[in-house]
Amino acid sequence: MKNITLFKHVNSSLNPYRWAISVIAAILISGLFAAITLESRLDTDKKMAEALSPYLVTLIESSDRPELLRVLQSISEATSSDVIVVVDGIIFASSRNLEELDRTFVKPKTYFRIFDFEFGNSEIVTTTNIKKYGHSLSEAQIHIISPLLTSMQNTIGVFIGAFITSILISLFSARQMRKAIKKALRPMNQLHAEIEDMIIENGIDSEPIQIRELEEIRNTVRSTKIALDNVKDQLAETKAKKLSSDAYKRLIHDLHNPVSALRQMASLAHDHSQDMETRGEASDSIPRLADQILNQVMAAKKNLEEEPVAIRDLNIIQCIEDGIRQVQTLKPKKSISAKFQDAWVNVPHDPMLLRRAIVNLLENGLDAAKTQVRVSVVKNKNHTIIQVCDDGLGMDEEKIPVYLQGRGQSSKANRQAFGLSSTNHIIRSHGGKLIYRKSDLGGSCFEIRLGVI
Amino acid sequence: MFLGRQFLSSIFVMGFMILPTVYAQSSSPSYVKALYSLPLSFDPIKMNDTASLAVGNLIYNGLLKFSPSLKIEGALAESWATSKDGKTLTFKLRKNIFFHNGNPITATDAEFSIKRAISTESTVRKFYDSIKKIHATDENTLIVELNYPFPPFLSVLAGATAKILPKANVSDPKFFNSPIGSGAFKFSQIDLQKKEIILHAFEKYYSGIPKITRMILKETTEEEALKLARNGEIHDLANWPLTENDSIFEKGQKISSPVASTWIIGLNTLKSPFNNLKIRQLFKISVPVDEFRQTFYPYSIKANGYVPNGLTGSQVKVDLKINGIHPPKDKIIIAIPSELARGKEMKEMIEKSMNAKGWKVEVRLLPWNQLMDGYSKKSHQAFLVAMNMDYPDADFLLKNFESDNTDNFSGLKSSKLDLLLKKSRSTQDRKLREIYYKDALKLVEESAVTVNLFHPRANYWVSKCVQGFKPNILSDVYIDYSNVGFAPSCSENEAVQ
Repeated sequence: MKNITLFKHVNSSLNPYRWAISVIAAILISGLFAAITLESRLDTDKKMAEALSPYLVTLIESSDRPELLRVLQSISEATSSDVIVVVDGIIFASSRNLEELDRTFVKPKTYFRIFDFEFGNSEIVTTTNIKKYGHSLSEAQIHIISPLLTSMQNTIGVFIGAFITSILISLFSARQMRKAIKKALRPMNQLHAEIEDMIIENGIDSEPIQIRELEEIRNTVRSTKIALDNVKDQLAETKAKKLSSDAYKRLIHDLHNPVSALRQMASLAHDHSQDMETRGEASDSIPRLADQILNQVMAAKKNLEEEPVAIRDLNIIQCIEDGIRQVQTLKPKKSISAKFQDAWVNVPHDPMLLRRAIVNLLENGLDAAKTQVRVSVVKNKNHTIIQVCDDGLGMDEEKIPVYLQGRGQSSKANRQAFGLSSTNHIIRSHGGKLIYRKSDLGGSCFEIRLGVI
Repeated sequence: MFLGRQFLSSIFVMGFMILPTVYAQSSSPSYVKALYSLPLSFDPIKMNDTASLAVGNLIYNGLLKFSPSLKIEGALAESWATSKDGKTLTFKLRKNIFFHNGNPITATDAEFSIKRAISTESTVRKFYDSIKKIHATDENTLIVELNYPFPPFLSVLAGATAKILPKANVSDPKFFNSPIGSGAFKFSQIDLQKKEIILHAFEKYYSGIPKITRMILKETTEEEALKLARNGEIHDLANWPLTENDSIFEKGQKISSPVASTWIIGLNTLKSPFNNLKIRQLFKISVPVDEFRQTFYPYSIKANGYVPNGLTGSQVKVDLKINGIHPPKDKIIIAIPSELARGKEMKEMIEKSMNAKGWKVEVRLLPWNQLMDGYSKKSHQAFLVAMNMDYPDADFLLKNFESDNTDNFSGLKSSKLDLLLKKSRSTQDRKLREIYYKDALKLVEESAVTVNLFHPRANYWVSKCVQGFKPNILSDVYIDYSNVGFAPSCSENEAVQ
């Protein structure tokens, strides 16, 4: 899904309404103006006819057609309309055509009527009963026939003008609205910045947000973060205690055998019932056992120092790939093949420590492998399983616990092998397990099994 | 009033044919307008027939003119003003206006021309009898003083007889053989053999060069004119306002318009039995007016009264109720023009209807000249004529019944009517004048000197190639030809000659 900014979201959400409302409003306003213009134009004709009624009545009553023709001609020239006076259905005077005088008046066909105005094919007909002293003479009318196109020119002009003006106003309004939306969303940006600052712990100098709801969110986030920090500290302290406790327990457990052996050797060395050779061997074993105990204590100390500090829900594939890259740079002669079910597997872990654990396994694998090491990640319902397998000779399964306890001897140097012990410690500190299996490639296969959150 | 000529021109049925003529042309097609007669006179102050007036309106120009809808517009006059008392009118002439001979038109020419109209040689001076004094104050200013405020006077000046002539040339005895005016068309020649007048567009016409470059006015009969029109040899039959459903309209354009005219049967009060008011009234209500109109002129407008529809006074209608009077035993002769296309049918119908009502009526078909002769001499008992108007005001028609008017065909003498007309002419109050007119017309109706038959509706035919032809509701005399032309889409052949 494509991400868009909140401004764009709000803006695009408003757009259809904004345009629809603008166009509808423009049409309504333009229509209103146009209707007023047309009504005013035609009403002027009608009022003029009404105003002239008494005079026209006089001319009709005196049958003064020449004078009436002059008047109608004058009205016609002023209004660009045809003016016809009809008496008893017969055209008494007309500005249009002398030929129709004394003939029956045939009103142009009209299609609809608005107020007193009848709209025909190409004309608008306004009919006014000629009045005398306020009384209507039903048998005498003045018909003003205005050409539709000419009459509508002003109306159409006003419509277009009003429409364009309304649209321009709408555009200006839309622009201002965009600015207003942007301005209105500034506190959101501020909140966003505040939260980001809190995450990277720079939010000490944050300023209050003007919008009350956002300010409340900010305060909530802020207090939540402080609470989380406190909890984290408490958790770390508790965990440290537990880890220390566990480490001591393991150390005590791990020291039980060598201490017993030391005690036994010391006893044998001072037991005069034993022959000299036995006593000599026992005396010789005492310093070795003492070194071993010392080494175990040092390994425990080192493991305590490597306690995870920042477990985060991150992509573990990224961590493994980083590990592979690191190892391959150092040992490019043997290949490491990687097989991942997904490109993205989120597992809570400390990427630095877990990478170190994986690097340990990879280095061991590469040392033992004839040609290749294979890394795979499988995720099931309960666990995420990372397997590091090689095609080497494999290990003596009985000695695996010794190595996991850090008491094994390194094959590359005459020293204690802490690699597996450290790896084991890191995995266990993540709440996981390190399991040894025979590899289908023929060598060793270490399986890191992490819980799924 | 122009009696009958216009009307008669539409109903003449002549027994001879004129062969179609192909008119020579120079560069552009000539516009051919048919006339029922060549002008009887080219002198505006002697024009009393439609043909003369129609031609005069093409050649001459006045201070004012009528628009098609009878709006009074400036012609040679650029502006005019009336004094508060309505008795003084000041006209400002346009600048750079010319006669056809190139001489400029001045206020002196206008003064001279209108003075001619009120001179004794004028046959139309009765139109101008309100003038007290006329004088030009400078080249462009003419002042007319009236005896009384006569509002229709502007209409008189827009009429067909109020034309401006060049003072310097009119004294030439041969002036009217080749008249000079300032109208849209210059007189070119008259061919009495061909019965044609040739006119050319006046390039310095005040409102721009006319679209028609050459116009031929051709005298012909209605029947022949229709034939020529069908053959595409004539463009304009406006001199014959035709009936609505004439078949000629299938070919060209029909332009229809009401005209200020009333067909009447005039009754002569000087002749028995019409010297009896009651008999006249009984006769008036006995004539089958509706039947006559519907039978012979179904598309015309029903006449409410003597004044044409749309003019002040037209609504005056008097319901005469006659009791105890019976048709006299005297024979009554109604003269109608024999040139009427359906004259015989009219005679039969009127006689049958009237005689059935107890009258002894004979409808006599008389040639136009005899009918007009009897009209002038007031020798007819009754006669059928069309009353046309020179200016759109009831005063024009009411003048006919003034006691001292020599043109009073009815012989009616009514001091009350004379007084009402005098009053109407001396007021500027439109409403008051209307009241006087109505009272006067009521008197005329009650005097029963006219049987009002109908108001005609003119149906003008012009070729489909003609553009810009606009009728004038006063009459065809006032049609403005300066804006008439040929449609660009019509080829020269289509546009004739």
